[in-house]
Amino acid sequence: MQLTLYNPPLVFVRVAGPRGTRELSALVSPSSRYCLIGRRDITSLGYSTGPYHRKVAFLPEVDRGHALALITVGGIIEAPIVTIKQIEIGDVMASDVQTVVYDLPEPTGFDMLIGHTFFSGLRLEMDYRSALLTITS
Amino acid sequence: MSDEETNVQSLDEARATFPEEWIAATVVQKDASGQPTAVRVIAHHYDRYRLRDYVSEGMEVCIFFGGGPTKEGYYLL
Repeated sequence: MQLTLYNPPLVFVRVAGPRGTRELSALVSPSSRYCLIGRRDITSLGYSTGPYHRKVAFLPEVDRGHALALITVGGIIEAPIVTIKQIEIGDVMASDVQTVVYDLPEPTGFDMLIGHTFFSGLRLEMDYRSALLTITS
Repeated sequence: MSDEETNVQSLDEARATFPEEWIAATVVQKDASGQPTAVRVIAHHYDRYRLRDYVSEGMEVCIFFGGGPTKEGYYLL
């Protein structure tokens, strides 16, 4: 599947949950280990983030049940993680996608990051010369 | 903020109608790669989280920003 490659690379993704689907603007971010979605959207879709510890983390990634400690360029954050039933970009679909639940800063004009947990097992080509984003199974 | 329904618009038209606002819409047309091309706006708000208050649970809705990838004066690293 070929899409227009914008700078930054934004696409619409369909996210499915127990209570329906939502189509959100997302940043293609293959260097991010996980996908990311905001709290309001994940609860509206019918997922629960469950209880998790809010201890400060000193390791880059420590799984404590429902939460992960994650290194970002702005520092370490701790956020719950959920498994999303299905995420689609066009006709490319991934099931059971591990996704961090975290609200992006207000000035960002998109609601999700699509990271490695979506792209693993797929071929992703970002051709800025031709402005084409190609995703194939 | 408004929750009145509008006519079918292209994404660019919707963004031009509600610049720098968050927009919730139903998708009425997609291109060959499954990306929305035409929508019917159902709500819009300057606050991305307040907009969610106007979107019913279970409603199949597309949400996007009526501006660039970041608000004016901000840049992605």
